[in-house]
Amino acid sequence: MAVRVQFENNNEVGVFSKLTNSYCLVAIGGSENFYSVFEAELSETIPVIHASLAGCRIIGRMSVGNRHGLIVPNATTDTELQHIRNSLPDSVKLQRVEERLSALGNVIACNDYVALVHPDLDRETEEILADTLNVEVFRQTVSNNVLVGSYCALTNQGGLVHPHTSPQDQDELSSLLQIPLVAGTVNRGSEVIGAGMVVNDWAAFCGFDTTSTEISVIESVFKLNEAQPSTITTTMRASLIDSIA
Amino acid sequence: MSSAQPSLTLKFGSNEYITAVKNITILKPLIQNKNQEQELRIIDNENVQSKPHSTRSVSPAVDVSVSIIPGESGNKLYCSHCEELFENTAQQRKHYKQDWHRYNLRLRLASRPAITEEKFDQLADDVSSISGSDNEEEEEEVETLGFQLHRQAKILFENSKGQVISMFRCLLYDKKETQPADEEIISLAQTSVEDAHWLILMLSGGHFAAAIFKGGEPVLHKTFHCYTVRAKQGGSQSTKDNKGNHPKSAGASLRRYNETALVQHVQELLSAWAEDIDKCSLILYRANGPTNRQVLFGGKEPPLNKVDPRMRSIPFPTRRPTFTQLKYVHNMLCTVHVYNSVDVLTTVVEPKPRRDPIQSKKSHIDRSKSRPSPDRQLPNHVQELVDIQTPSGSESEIIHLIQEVQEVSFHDLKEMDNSFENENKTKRKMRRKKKKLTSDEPKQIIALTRKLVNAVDCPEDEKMGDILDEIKEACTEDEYECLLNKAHDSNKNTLLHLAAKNAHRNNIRLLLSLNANPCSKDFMSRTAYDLAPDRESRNVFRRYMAEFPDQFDYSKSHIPSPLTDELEQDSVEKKRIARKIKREKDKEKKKAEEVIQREKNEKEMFLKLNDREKMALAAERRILAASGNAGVVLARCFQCAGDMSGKVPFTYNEYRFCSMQCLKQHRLTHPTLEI
Repeated sequence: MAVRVQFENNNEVGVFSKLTNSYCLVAIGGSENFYSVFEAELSETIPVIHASLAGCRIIGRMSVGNRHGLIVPNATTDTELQHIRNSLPDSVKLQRVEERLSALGNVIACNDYVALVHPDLDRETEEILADTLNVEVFRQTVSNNVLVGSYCALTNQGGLVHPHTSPQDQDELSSLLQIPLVAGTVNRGSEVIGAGMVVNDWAAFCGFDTTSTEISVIESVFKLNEAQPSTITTTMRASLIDSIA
Repeated sequence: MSSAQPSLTLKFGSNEYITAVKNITILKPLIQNKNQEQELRIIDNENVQSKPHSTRSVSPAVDVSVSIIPGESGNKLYCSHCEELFENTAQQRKHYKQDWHRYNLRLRLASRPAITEEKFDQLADDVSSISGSDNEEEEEEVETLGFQLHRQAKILFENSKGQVISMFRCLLYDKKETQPADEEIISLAQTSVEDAHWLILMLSGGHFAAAIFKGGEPVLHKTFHCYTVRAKQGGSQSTKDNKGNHPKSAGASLRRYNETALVQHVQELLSAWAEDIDKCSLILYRANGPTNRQVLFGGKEPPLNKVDPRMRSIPFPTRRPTFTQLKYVHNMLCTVHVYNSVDVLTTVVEPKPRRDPIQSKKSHIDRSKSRPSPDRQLPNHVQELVDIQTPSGSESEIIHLIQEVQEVSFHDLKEMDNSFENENKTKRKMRRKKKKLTSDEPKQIIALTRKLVNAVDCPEDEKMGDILDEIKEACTEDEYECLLNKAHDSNKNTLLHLAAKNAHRNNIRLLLSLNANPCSKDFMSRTAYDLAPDRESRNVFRRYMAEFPDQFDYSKSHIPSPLTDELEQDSVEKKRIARKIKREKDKEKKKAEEVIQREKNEKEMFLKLNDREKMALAAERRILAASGNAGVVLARCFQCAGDMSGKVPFTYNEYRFCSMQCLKQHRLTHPTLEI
């Protein structure tokens, strides 16, 4: 199911939250409305964690993560790191990286198996990324935008990319990522997909402005209608492991 | 550099110009990267040679090569950046991690064509690393003359003699409008010279200059200046006003007036010139910022039409609007450069340093990396020291240290002498004294002292006087006094302390009379007086104080005041009176309590009665009152039994209440009663 949600009258929910298959980070806001939407949808399966990074609420744009780990920028304070460490499941690795491009969420897009990164990302960061998140890293652009994290949203099921991505580019990317891709928008035509929505293998949250057409595209490409958390361990796992092997 | 200079400079509209522009074609400007310098140059030459036949339009940047993409034919295993096909996914994945792919990706982002793998390998030998993190030093773009000319808003033509002609693009067409076809541009270049009738306008900072040139000569011109720019702060008065702050100074209002005046002057002038302006083929203007543009194109009837096709902005920076500057601008625009061959365009032109090289170097410091510390001159005084030491060091390696012993006398420094002694010092002194005493004293005295202490310390025994006498006989006067005042146990208690503690009134008095100091303190800095347990023994001290006020300095003995018989008498009297008053007060209190108690009892009794009995009692009371029996409570509230004699009662059914609350409560507790 894709759910519409707003963070303090702001539709860019991907900025204020980070959703993966094993945890969900939510920015500390003035009211608990935003948090409670996530809590209602996810609390049965994964922990929903209040967090800030470097004192900022734009946690979705500053961090990158998947089922295996979470990478946060160097500016994250020790207290914040400790809090996140305590709240995350033990299997999730937490890593702080020293990277010039500190808005990691904008420069990296990943699912549990592959990651697209900004062409200028540091080599060391690339290695940390591969180790922490257990992903294969590719330097690529999304329709000539270097901010791959901002302009696409990826899960193990599928991906939504910038509306101006040409069909050739989509084919190229989808063969690289091994998932179906669709060019689309969120929040009534916003092209910053990554900032406008968060998604994992069974749930998606997008801004209040998202039209029903956009929602239906999101639900179909991310296969949210048939997906339940339990299917990850049964049907989906088999297919995913096959494709990787 | 010499080849970059134009071989010929012509005037726009001159006969030479007209002959030069016969049979011309348009040339494309070029940019190239240092790394690809050689390669591109070859390509350029090819391009240039093939130019006369091509009909490509002038585009500002190098167009990214658009080849037919094999990806379109259905094969998804394709990298569009490197134009590379793959056989399987593994190969594709491997490719995306290659440096070659990264390099092409970065070239693509810089809108440059991709390079082949072989070419990249050649490059990679020269360039050590091309990872994303190593691009801190910006790749230096080397500009060819062709590109530089293009950036200067010039358009390039090639004529049949192989000469390259460069002139300002704005003379032919407006860059804001859609670019005309090549043939049209060429025809414009050849024909537009015939009616070179230009208006050049410049407006900035309150300065205005305008002139109409015909055939290279100014026909009409006018310049003027209004004081509109804020001195020192800069910026026009209206922008300052628009920021919300509306200064009321004389200068501000002057500038405000001048701004409107400037607009008026300009508009008047332009309307006066309207006929001449209509004849002009081009209007070139410089009016930066909204304020200046407002003057030319704003208002209800704008002096100039913004969408006029003749309207062009001056394509290079100019200085303050003056008539000389107008002539300079005209001269610049008219100048047409002719280069002898097309090869000139590909020659590399050293870009002019835009900033002071030292300054630019400074701005490039990467603070995250360690860098060698610069060689700085030693500070002056260190330098001096070095200069001094070097000769001496060369003469002899041994350093001589000279020691001198000097006697310093402090005897003269008495002025600041501290009068009161340090406590530690006194303690030490006392201990020393005590030791001396114990060592020097004959055993007899020690034994006697012990006996004395025991005698004083014993609660009952009061035969101290005899022992004291014995001691007095045994030792000298000094020792005797010392013995009386010294501490005799670990708590630093003197004999007087011991006597006071045990409340030996006679002993206290005896010791005091023997000059035992009442001011000496024990380890908790209590005096003997503080230790005395009862009033009588304390009074011994006070009486002694009254009797011999001059014997000791009593100020530190903690004895509050001397006590004489009279004083004692007074205090006794006072106490007696106080006791009497207290007794009376108690009596009164008791009486009042009795009254309250009686009232309380009466209330309770009343409350116990049922309502009928209450009514009966009330009637009884009225009769009693009528008979003149005072002090009887006439009426009581049926609910709380409070006294309400003299008040108007709240009633229902003959029940009387002191307040509505009581009434309500009564009604609630008696719901069956009908009203």
